[in-house]
Amino acid sequence: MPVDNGGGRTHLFCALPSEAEALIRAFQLKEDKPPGLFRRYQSTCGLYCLVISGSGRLNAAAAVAWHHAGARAAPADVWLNIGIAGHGRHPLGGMYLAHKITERQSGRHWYPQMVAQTDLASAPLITLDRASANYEEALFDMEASGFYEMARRLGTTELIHCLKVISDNAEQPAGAINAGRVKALIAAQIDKIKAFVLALQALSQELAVASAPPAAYQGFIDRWRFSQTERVQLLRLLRRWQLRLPGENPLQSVQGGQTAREILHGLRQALEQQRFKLHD
Amino acid sequence: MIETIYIEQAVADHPQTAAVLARYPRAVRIGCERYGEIFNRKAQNFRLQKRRPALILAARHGGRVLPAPARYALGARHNYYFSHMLNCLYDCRYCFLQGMFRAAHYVLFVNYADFIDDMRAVVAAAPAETIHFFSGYDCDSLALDPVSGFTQAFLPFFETHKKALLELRTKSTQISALLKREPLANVIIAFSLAPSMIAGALEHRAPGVGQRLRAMLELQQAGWQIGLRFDPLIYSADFKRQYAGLFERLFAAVDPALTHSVSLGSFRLPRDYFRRIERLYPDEKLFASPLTEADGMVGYRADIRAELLDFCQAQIMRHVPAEKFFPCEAVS
Repeated sequence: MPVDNGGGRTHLFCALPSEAEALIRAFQLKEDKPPGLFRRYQSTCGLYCLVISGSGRLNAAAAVAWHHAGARAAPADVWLNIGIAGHGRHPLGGMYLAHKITERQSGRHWYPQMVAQTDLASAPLITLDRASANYEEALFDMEASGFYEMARRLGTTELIHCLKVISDNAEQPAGAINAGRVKALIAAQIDKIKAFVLALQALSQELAVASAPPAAYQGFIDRWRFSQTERVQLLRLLRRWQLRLPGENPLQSVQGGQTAREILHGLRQALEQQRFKLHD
Repeated sequence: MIETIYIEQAVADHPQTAAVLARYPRAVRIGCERYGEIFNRKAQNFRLQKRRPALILAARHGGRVLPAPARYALGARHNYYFSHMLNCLYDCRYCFLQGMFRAAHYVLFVNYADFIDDMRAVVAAAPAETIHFFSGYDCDSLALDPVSGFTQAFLPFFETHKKALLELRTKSTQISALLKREPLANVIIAFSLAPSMIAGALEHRAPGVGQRLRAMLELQQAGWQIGLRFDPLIYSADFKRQYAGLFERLFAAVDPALTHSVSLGSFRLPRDYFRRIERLYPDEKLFASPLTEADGMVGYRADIRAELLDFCQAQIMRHVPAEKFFPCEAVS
């Protein structure tokens, strides 16, 4: 299993092995052995995972939940559904980011947050329960709503997206699609997919850095016994320390303290004795 | 630059919507049923959204004109605030909006006529009274004015309702719509100000203090009344030098006759908002200030707060008569 992390990992979800193949190669992923409920691939660095969910929104939702339960994912992780989709008129091979997901069966909508810096075009997406030849002015797939609804319960909305490559349209309907064609369609977009993953990771990193505890935190936790509430207070005091007294070791200010309470008091006092200057 | 615009179904055909969309021909347009589907949903992150906020065009259905919070007043008995917009183009680190909303998108309520009808009803309920309306509580009043047409839509009401007073709270230099029309004696353009060092550290994306001062002077030259708002006052060990310098600079420049009012208050936030903002920006030095918590609010320690308020009040009173001074907090 991947290492516990403060964020910055990317979790990829595809419905079909043919959609996943180029991604597995590009991110140098290896399949988990023995296999679990879903086929899962991971990079040795632990930064990338890919799960093959099978077709349909229920499978997509189940794959996200199953993966999350075992992956120790962080709120700052990236969640991405990648696959093929139909569209009324967009040419085959084009890739689009879903900016509105509609589940046809329930009529519900979700709005992925378009915050990442990207040149990718976006389009509305409709998730169907069965493939349809009644093309509309929207992307058509069978997984996005299930993926998105579950992922947004587990992650940060701005880091959850669906990327779809056009595999069929009104002029060239789905009948001609086969595994080889799907592999080629995704493979042709790998550079753009990687660029988008990087853009999301930049956002993820911003959150991860902001939520990381100060360097001195672990030293205190190892040395004294803090209750959960005291840990929150310690974190807050050490963050203030880091901002007000960078370069000074907070451990030195609490010498002689025996209990967590005394340690917190010592830190508080040391901070209060300092003049506060907002700017340098 | 706005790249994504969400449009509530109810305002899709509204003329104000068309006017706004015309300003952003290249923006991606996404339809929605209610703005709440996009704005302020669980698991959204204000800090990330602030990097690339979208614009949401919507209708406000209720609570358009509300009683103003206590001490948010300029001497009138009846005080109301209204927000034609939620969120701000600027990114001031002390701003309560970061704690109030999980979303940084801008929501523009384009049903201006409904807001004005509500104001008319408030005025009609107390025809003999002076009623003050405050704009700029949940947004900057002027920052998006060239796009929103806010002043153009609202000022005619105040032209015909002289007993109503409007405060437009701003840090913006978007004053061209005001300069194009005759000044109104019952409309105050109230500028939020801080010393340059403090503004530079905390008021990201906002016009510099010098630019704000130039905008104020232009408005005064055109006959508009301005207000000076020093809220929040920000503490730093050298605050006396910082604020004394600001006051000297401002009061040497502005016309006292066209300075309607001055108000001040120290940095303070409801505790829950503070905690949320602190979690969003743990690397912000402001939150490492000597703060304390009391009665559900986080603010400066009592001694610091008193020092800050007393000093600034004394400085201001050297330039401003007492009847024009309105502290937002009790000053000792």
